[in-house]
Amino acid sequence: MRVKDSVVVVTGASSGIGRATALAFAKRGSAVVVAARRQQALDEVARQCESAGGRALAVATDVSEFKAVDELARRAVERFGRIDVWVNDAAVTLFSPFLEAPLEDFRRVLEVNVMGYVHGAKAALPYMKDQGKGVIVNVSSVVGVVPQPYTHAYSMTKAAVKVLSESLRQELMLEGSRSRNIKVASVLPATIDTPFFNHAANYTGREVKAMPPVYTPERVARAIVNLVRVPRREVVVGPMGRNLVLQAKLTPGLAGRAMAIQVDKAHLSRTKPAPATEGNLYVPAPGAGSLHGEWNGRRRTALRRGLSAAAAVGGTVAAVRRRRQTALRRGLPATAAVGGTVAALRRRRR
Amino acid sequence: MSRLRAARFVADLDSSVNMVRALGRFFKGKDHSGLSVGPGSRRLAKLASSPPPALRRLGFIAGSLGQAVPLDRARLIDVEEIDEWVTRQYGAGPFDTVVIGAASGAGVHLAAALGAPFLPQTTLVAVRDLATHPDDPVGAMEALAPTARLVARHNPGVAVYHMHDPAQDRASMQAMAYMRFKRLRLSRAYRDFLEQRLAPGATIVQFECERTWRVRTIGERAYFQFGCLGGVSEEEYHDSGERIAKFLAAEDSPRRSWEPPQTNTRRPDAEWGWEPALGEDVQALADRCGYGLRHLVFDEPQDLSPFVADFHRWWYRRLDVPADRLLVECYVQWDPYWVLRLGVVPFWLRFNMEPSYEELRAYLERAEPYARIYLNLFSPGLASPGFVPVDKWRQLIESKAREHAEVVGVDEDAYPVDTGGTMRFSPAFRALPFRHPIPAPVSADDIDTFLGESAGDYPKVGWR
Repeated sequence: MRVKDSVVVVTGASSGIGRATALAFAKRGSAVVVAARRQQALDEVARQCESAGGRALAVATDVSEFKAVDELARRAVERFGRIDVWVNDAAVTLFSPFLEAPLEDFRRVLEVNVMGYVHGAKAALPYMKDQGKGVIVNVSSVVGVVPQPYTHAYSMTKAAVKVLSESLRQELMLEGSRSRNIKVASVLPATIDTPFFNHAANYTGREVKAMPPVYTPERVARAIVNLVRVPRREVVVGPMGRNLVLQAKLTPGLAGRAMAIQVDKAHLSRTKPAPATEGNLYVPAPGAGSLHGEWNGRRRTALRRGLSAAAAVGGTVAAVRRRRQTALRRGLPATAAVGGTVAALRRRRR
Repeated sequence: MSRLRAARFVADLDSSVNMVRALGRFFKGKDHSGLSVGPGSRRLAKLASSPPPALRRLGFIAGSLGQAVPLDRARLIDVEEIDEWVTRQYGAGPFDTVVIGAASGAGVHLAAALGAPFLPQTTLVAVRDLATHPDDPVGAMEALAPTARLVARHNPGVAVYHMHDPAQDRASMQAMAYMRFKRLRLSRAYRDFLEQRLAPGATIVQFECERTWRVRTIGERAYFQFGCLGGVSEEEYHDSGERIAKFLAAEDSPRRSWEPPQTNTRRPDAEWGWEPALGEDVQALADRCGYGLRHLVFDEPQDLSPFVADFHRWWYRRLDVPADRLLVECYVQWDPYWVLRLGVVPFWLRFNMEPSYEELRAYLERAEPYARIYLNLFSPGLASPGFVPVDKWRQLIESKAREHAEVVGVDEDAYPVDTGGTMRFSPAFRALPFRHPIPAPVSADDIDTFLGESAGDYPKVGWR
């Protein structure tokens, strides 16, 4: 689908991935309808989208209420005439030992993260069916494949979102040509540098940190834009996420154990206690929102890439030197070694 | 596995743990050198106290971090395992006497005299805390409350106290929070010890310190106590004035007063207080096993010091050991082995603060004069309100000793940030010139005899 001039609705657009997605579409000339609970933050996002070259509409919406979501869809169509893309991104999370998690908080996570997406799809689909085309993007997570301890509710919802996407996709396939051009995709980000973790409900007694490696929200936004251009069933964002998903297919038990240890050691602080809080489950965090968290995703990504590049260059240099020494020992000219390496690479490619 | 884990969960500067370690080693004929975990060496102590003050203060903080349990391990804290560790510190027995209950640095010498192992009611587990500020008690309480509740739930036989003292414990609180576990029931380990390792008809002596403190209930069997016994009174902790403002300014704190959370009840003091609930289990076990049960009841932990000092004088006289040499010990720098080997009378200071100073002064004024007085001081890492400098201590003992007075085992230039203090005190005791054989233990009945023969009056101590 052509992104320029498309009409895109993004829920959870006040911060993090949703905000980055709205900005990414706006930069590419889309009309963006941004939705979240915080009007102040939404106004700021809409202003940024317009500055980036897109048209924008901010609609304060609590996705756990179908009426509000239906109204969001109606206003998007009223303003821009149609809905081409619907990005379900609004989510909340809860960190807690299972027995300590208040039931109402657990239920609230399910309401927002699952029913919010159901409401979104239910509100968008009628318009898309009328248009005969559209893309629904459901932002899931790698924890929907490899769940985590202490985030039972969140992990459950992210698995549910994957299932919702698949189930909808199958239903639309059965509907035949009428719905052939309506696509449903899931995006599974790894850990992303957003304020999400600062707003989490938390009953663990330990500060929540972003579990490394941390990627930027812009990276997820690019993946979502590309999904709209060339729809795919599912995209995992972040190499570590892809590794984890692969590992879960090959050795699910090992992947689960590794995730449990990683969460205990690196997702929850071992040195910083934290008071019990319901986070932003019921009341949105104040302020104008932000794109990034405090986890230095951009710097960490640059560092990882730098180290990977250094390792690749170092490995290549070492391999060339070794070949050269071997060639010298055999009495061949030193240049043969480099030539030999290049020839070997060519053979491998073929 | 559990043995290693339990060892990791005990804090080396805890009063109860030091009583257990000192007595365990005393029964094996060893001293409490280096608090029984490190070396006792004047050279190493000198080395440890040689860096500049800021580095030494950092050393205190780093040491605390090393003592503290990471938060992810808090769920593994099992008081039953700690109690197993306690009972493993003693031999197979059979023991004629055992002491159970509140910690006391005077009590450790009484237990040694009785040949009695000590089973503490309260032990400390430090947990890492690099997030809260010592002068924000509400923030600290709220941040640690989930952990306190978690540990209380996992250990149904204990009350958990989050003790927060930004005065005396300020240095260590930069890196850790204090969780004190007060047993309300006899654990299986304690029960097995009492049933299997006491001689028939043995006597259980229960130390009962009646000191209470106002607390805030933060969960089922979980409490937050702001402040503790020391140089600042309970009232001053809760209504801090000019003196605290000056202290906070000197410490570069962003605050000039403490605003602790509203309290809702009084409970036995987190560190020293006796919780009577445990007494019911002890009484039932004593009745069932045919043991005698005696109670040593005292208002404040310090109140036991004159009583125990006078008891030793009485005992030494019976043994024809000179009873005019006094060794004043401070906080956990006690050593029952050297007290008896040197034949010195022990007087314990709960801390190096004004109230303890006054207790010592009052005792020396009323006691039959000592010929020689030696005094050692624990280094808390800072001069908090009520702190008494070394010179003042020295003047006191010099004014009271008939022949000789000396501050021993303290690097006076480094004090109160004397990082090597715990390595220095035992060698300093060892260097004193007297030697006597370790006497045979006394019995609980000897305390009755002492009280019958003693001219001393101990209105704050009850023995029944």
